[in-house]
Amino acid sequence: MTRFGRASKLGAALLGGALVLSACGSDSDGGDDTDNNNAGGGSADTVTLAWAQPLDSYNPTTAGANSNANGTILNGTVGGFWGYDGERGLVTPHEEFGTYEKVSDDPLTVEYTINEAAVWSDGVPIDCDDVQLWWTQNSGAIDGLFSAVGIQGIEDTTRPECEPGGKSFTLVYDTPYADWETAGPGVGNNKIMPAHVVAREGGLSDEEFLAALLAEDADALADAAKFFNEGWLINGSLPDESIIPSSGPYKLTGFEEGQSVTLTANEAYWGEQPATKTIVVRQVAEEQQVQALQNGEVDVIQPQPTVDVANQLEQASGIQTHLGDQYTYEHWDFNFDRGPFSESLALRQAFALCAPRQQIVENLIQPIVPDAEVKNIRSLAPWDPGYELGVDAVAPVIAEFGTTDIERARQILEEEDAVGTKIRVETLDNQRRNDSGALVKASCDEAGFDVEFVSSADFFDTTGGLSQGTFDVAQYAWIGSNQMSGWNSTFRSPAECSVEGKGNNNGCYSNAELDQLLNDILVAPNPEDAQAIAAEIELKLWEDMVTIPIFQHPGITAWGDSVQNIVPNPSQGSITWNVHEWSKG
Amino acid sequence: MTDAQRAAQKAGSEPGPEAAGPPGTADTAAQGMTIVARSQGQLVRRRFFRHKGAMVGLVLFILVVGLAVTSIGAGPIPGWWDKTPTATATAVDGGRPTLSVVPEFLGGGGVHLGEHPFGQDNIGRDYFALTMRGAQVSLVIALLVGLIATFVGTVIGAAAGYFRGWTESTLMRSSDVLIAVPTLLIAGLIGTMIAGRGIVLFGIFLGLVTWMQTARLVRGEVLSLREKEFVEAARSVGTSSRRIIFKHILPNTIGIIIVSVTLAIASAVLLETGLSFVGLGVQPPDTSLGRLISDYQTALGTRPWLFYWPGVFIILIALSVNFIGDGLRDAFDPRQNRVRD
Amino acid sequence: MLVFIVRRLFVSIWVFFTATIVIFFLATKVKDPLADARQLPDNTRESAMAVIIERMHLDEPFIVRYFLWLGDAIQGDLGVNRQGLSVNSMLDAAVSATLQLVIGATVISIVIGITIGVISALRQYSALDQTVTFVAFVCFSLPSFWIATLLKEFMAIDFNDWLADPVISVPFIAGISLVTALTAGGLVVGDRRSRLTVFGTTLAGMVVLLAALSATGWFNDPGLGPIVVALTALGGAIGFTVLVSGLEWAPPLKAALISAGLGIVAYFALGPVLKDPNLLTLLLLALVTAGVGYGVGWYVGGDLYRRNAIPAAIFTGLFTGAVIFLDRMLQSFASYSDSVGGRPISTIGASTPNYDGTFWQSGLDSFGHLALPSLALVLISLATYSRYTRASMLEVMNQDYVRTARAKGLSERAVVTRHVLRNGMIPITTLVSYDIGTVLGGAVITEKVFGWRAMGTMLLEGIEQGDPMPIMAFFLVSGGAIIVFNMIADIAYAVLDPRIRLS
Repeated sequence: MTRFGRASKLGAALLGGALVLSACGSDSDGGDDTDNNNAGGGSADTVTLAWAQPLDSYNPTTAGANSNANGTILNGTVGGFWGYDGERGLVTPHEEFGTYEKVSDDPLTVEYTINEAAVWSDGVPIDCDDVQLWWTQNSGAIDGLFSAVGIQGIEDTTRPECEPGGKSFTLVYDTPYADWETAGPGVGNNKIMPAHVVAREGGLSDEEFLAALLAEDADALADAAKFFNEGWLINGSLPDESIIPSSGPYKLTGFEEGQSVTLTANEAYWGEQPATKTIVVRQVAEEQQVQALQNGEVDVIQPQPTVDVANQLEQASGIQTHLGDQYTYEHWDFNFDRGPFSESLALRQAFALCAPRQQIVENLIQPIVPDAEVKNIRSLAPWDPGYELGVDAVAPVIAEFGTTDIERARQILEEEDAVGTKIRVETLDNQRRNDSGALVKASCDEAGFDVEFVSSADFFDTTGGLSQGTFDVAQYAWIGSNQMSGWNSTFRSPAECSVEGKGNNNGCYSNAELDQLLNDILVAPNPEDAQAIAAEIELKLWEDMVTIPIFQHPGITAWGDSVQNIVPNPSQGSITWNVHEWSKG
Repeated sequence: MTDAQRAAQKAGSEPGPEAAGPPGTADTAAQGMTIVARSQGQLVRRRFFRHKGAMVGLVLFILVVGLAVTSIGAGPIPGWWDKTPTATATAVDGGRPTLSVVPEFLGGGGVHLGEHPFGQDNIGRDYFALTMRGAQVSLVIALLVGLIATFVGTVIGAAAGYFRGWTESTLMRSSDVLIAVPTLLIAGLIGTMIAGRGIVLFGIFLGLVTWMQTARLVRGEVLSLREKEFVEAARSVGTSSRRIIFKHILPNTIGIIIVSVTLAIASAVLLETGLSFVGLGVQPPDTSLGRLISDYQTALGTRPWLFYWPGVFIILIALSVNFIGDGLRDAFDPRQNRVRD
Repeated sequence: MLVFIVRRLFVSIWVFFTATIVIFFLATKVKDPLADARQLPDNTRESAMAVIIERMHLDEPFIVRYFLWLGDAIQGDLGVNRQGLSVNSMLDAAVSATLQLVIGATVISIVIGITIGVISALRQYSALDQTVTFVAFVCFSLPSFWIATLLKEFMAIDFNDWLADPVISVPFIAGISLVTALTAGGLVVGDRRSRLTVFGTTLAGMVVLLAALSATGWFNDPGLGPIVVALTALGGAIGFTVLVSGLEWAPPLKAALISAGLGIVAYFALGPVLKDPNLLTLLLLALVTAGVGYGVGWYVGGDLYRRNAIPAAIFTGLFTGAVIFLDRMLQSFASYSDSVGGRPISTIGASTPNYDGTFWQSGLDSFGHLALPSLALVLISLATYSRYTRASMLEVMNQDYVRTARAKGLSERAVVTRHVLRNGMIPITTLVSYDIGTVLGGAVITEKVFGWRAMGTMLLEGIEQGDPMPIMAFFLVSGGAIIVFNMIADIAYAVLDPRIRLS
């Protein structure tokens, strides 16, 4: 009993003491800790971009790593002679990096000069050996040694000459080439990679490496090429700082697998320093991006545009939204290898008449981009030079078959004795395409076709509908570009109509006359000629009803009110084209 | 989701207070009343129909199935609802639902269904019809999975339990192999491979990879039954194995099997919708409740009805089947009645 | 026993090995890995396809590819995915994120689920029990992706919006208070009057508390303060004593009270240490607390009460530590919230990129990211655990030995804690092994909704790209976990029940 008494007194004393202390100690909460972090969303010196796909390589110029994500995320770390700049994504020279000039048309000759001050972020000048590496890779001079995405045009140039340490070089083309401007070193998958890093990792001195390149000595270059192809892959963590020097206003400084990439201002950059010190690219799936922006976890998003995304962004406060078109366009391809459309222009025209292009645009695109229109020109976007020329050229066909007219479609089917013709419309399974498929079925069934609409997740697989040619009409999109060479193969007669043989010409359309035009456009000496040929090609495609374009894909970019200088442009995924100008107040 | 839930539900059962049923006829006999002889089946039915939760579940389930089937019809037979899940139209008023349940005297819009009670989707399709179509598909798949999983599980479990030895170890090892794989993984692989080929095939294959729990339960039951005297008696008079299994053993496991079916159906609803949600399940032109939610998950902020309705129906289906299962289990196995002390 | 374990181990390995063949086979067939490359423009397609074919050995038959994988996997190399990235490093990052989620959710489910299950079994057929049963059934029937999306919208975005001006509306105060009061009333044993008293007191208390918190803007800058910490610690001391020994004897209560008192002293004394500790410091502190508790219990309990006093003191000490921990976390809330733009509950990912703060701030960062996905998983597992516990408890309560224990005059507390609880918990070990597969599957879906890049992403992208390597990595971890847990459950059972060993 005594012990109880003693202990409880002790307890009471302790407690009393504690309460006294507590009266003076009181709530001093942790608020005196400084906000020294640079978390996304919160602080002013960081702008956070959401992107769905991961960065997986520092070298997007190889065949395997040529992804949209790599190009977009690394944009700020890349210096090049040109970029897809401005609101329209037009090819724009980057004079900060260097200048170029076409000095002759025959043979096509372009002179390039790199800025004297241009250096990699580790201080090594950007010069001759980098150019030689770039040329060796893209020309395929040493067959398959350095992996390349296959930029067209460079294989038809002769090796440029330059002094070691020299800053200027000249590309001479064997044949005229319309897209010579974008063939030169620029952004994305056409950028110049640091030769001194490749040399060092390949166990060669700079001089040995340059010599081996010039001698096209595959054996000596083997290790270097191995590094070039695989050494820049990002496996869980960033490669050592010394092997990822940057040539742009930012350098790559942080990477968390599956979470985020951090870009920090490159102090060694010779041009103007970027407006914001840190750019964080968080990996966020498309469906989650709007909520993440609303919740302040990211600052800039470019989600898959759907009606709901558009509405949600419109309703949210404190968010700027930009609606616009992308280069990508949706279209229907006919199957020229088999089925009812392969032999009959009349049936193709009937389909063009019953397919509800206007209704699709009104129901599915205009809720996102109110001024969206039906697309009549395939390979050029409305903002491309030469677009108007094309519109004028195809006007007569559009007047006849460009607007939905179920009555006339029915007439044609009756004339052809083809009422009830079964047709199979195939596409990739996603909501917008499923919706448009439902509209096609409703409309063309009324005109007298018997439409079977199939949308499957494996549409693009070897075993899927597109490759196998099981479709009568296929609906999908081409990623357009303002390069003539980009879409050239789409309409060219295939070697044979097989999975491997048909290339991009999935319907196996074949026309020698068109092939000739496609050849001509590639070697058109100047843009005006190329535009005229493009218009002629469009007309041919309409007259023969090869494919039917539907709409330009809409794009949505949204950002928090506090972020400035976000300028979306329609070229693929290059919201980051001016990342160095982004700022947050 | 399936295994643990079923394990838990297997154990987690006892009748509600009202459903405890006549615990025994002894009490009544003692009070001098007439003793009514009841067969096992009668007892089970009695207990089941007195289980409040099970009754509510049963009524709910019949209502949902009835609504799904009769509203838009099945196959060539048309339903009473005048819209179809495929007919497109112009979306009226942003596709807002016209269903109203607040009477006018309370300041609401009156009680009526309206043109599109659940609203319309992007291309003006009637969302009520679409939800009903989704419910049909989800139900068909769930029923198929439940039946096939139970059938396969019962056969394998019974064979393993009865024959023991080599047969048992082969069957049970293959069941172990499947148990080691998370259901979502194997169902996702299978779903991706065959979901495009129609919902029936999809349901069958899902059933073929989710039978393990039933097999374990049935085997356990058979193991104890085969040692019982009546089986021994049958064996001693030379009854064939097949006859013993089908005539003597399986009828005694019927309780477990029936309960298994309901629980398999309930978890199959969630499995299918989950798979469809992550894109590994039902493929268009088919739709299902999970797929509708997946399609409209970004609509929550702007057109919430597109997100809510399919979810409500998933819950209604799973909940009602779970309650039915609970009642059935109590009816067959009334071990945990009220603690009396 | 050893023979049993070895045999069990051998069977597990064999089963696992067979399962890898099955999964690998399905994974090679699931989709065409070249599908994406085929969409590339002409000039880049050939080279991209060639790279993938070589990397994935697509020109080899299935069996060769399997053995190539197996050969590497045995040496710990899980290969590269379709993009040529090391699956090992993907897995490293993914496993830790997923484990955080799965372990957190499982532990919470077990603790809360078992508590609820025990309570509803002890109060069988009460209104509380009926409600719990109904809610559990609803939870069973919830599609996790649906509930997760809702949580994100309402618990993250709307909650964060609310934090900007944290005033609780009157109906909300009324609702929360009512629910709490009903629960408290349901928990009380006794007649109608004592229930009503508890109900009334709780209701009034909650209303006042919430109104005060709302009016003072507590939610913007929360904290418990020393007085609340002290009172909670003392309450804990009494509670644990009741659980461990009952209040009839003084020494255990004394030990617990002293332990709580020491904790309160530590609250002030350790101020500087707790300003920005690391995990190790905290673990050490917990160890010290347990040690001190043991000492106090040993000394105060004397020979007679040592057995009860020691656990009472240790539990109370740890509980007080937990309260102090919570208080610290809450005090850091304002500064953390400020550093993430006033939006502490996040909708995506496992952490804020490049976050750099004190231990408490980083802790809150993890919490803000984990809270909702864990909740989505917990809701479903919770139902399982509570139902299972309840059933198991009821079964035990019907056993003869429980009747005997009551008959020999043991107090209800002693019957429940010593006899019912201990035996009722044994089957729960099996449930954990069942549940682990479920939770891993659930995590795949939850991760997708909350934009976590972890195991679920590996699986879904693997399937999407027809790439066996990440799928196999997912299986190695998830299937491995299932097999190990099943094995542990079997062995644990065999230890507890010798009959199993022999069969």
